[in-house]
Amino acid sequence: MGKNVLGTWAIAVAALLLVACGGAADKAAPPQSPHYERANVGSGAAAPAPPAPREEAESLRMVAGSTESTSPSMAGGYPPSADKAYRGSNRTADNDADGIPDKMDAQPQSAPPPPPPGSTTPAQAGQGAKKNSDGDPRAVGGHDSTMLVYTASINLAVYLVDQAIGQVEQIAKDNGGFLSSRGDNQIVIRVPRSRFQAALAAVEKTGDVLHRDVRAEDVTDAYMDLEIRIKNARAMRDQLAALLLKANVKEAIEIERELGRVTEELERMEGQLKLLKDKIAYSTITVTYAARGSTIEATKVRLPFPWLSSLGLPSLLRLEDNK
Amino acid sequence: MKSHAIYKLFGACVLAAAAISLGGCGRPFKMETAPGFIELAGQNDYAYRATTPDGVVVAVRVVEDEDRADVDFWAKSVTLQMRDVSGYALLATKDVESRDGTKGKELRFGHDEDKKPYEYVVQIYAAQSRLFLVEAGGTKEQMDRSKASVDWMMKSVKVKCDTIVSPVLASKTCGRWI
Repeated sequence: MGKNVLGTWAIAVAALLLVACGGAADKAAPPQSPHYERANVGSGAAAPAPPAPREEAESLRMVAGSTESTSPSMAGGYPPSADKAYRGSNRTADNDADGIPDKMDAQPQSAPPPPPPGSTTPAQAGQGAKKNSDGDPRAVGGHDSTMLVYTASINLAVYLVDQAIGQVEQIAKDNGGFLSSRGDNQIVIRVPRSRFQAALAAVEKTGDVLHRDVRAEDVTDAYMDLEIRIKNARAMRDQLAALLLKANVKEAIEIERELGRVTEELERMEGQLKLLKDKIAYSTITVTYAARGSTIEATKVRLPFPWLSSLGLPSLLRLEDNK
Repeated sequence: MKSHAIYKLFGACVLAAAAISLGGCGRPFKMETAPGFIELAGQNDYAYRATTPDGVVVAVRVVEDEDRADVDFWAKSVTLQMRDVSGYALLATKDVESRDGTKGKELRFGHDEDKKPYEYVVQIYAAQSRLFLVEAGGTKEQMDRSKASVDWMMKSVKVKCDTIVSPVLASKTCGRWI
């Protein structure tokens, strides 16, 4: 009898321990934040299957949510109603009515643009292992490439520069882009992101490429953060405007001051978002006609043969006759 | 007595051969100057330099005691120097052969000087434990105009000595005793 009671107690304690351990294990597991999951998407063959685009967008939204909850700017006590309103809203719907041409909201549904080859950013380096044999990161777990800013810097040899600069400008126009700046030995063009690779290839054909640096900067975090802050600021502004109608004179002065601050902040953030959208929509290609002497010096690969450095036109054409 | 005369004759022949050999090696190479060019005297960095009145220049530079690498190595070194360090555009490369049959490389570059396009050609030969750099340059327009003369001069280069003594002896002596 006593043994039976003892056995029952032992089983009960063991069961409790198991339950407790299971719970503890659940709590001790690293938080699988959406960001973490997203980082895992395509981080190797062992990674789980990539989420569908909708899930990806959802996870991005959740990233934004986590940013929102930890952002110091949000700790200032924005009205819960505004917060709730944002959470319930469709991120891709353009209901901001801010007058900004909101192309980007529609873009996630379109096919991602062809990625630039030879990206050298650390972020891209991390994805390099996941690229297929063509080097096409689109094959990487459906990575959302809509928030990437593509830039390229190309060094071309200094030969027929005027003619080459004209050709580069024409390439920008042919690809639906425009001239950003033009100097004696440098030209900067902007082309639609979808034409980036084609424009880059065309530019490289205009001369002898000494060096190229292609980058794809992921601005998803900055973009999402700005969007959230703008939506919350708008809600704050609307609420302040509503309060203003009911306020007495003393309160109205304070509310107007706060309203001015919020409006100013809102305009600044809208400007930033507009700039970011522009950077995403139009890739930048900078073409410089110059030697890379300083870089070579820095990397210490200059060969130690003095006659090499005296080769070239200046010494050949500097004539002397010592008869 | 008869053998003594034979020895004398043999000695005279050797001396004559040496004289001919050395006489042919004022420079360790040969270069013809095309009509329309004049050869300039007393060139410091160049063993030979000639120019047209409008400034197309053909020159030969000799790097002594340089037999550490083959022509391909030097061609790559020159390409790196001219492109990456000096910003020249590499327009073409090709294998060439000097008039005496020595294999070499030709590199053709383009570069803007004062916003005007210039061309610069360099041929590289390795022979006699030396490096021979045959250079030509000028504005693109002038180089196009003088192309035939420049090509003719560059093809006239001999980087081995003309001598009646054995090639081995020539390679050891040519250009060293002057």
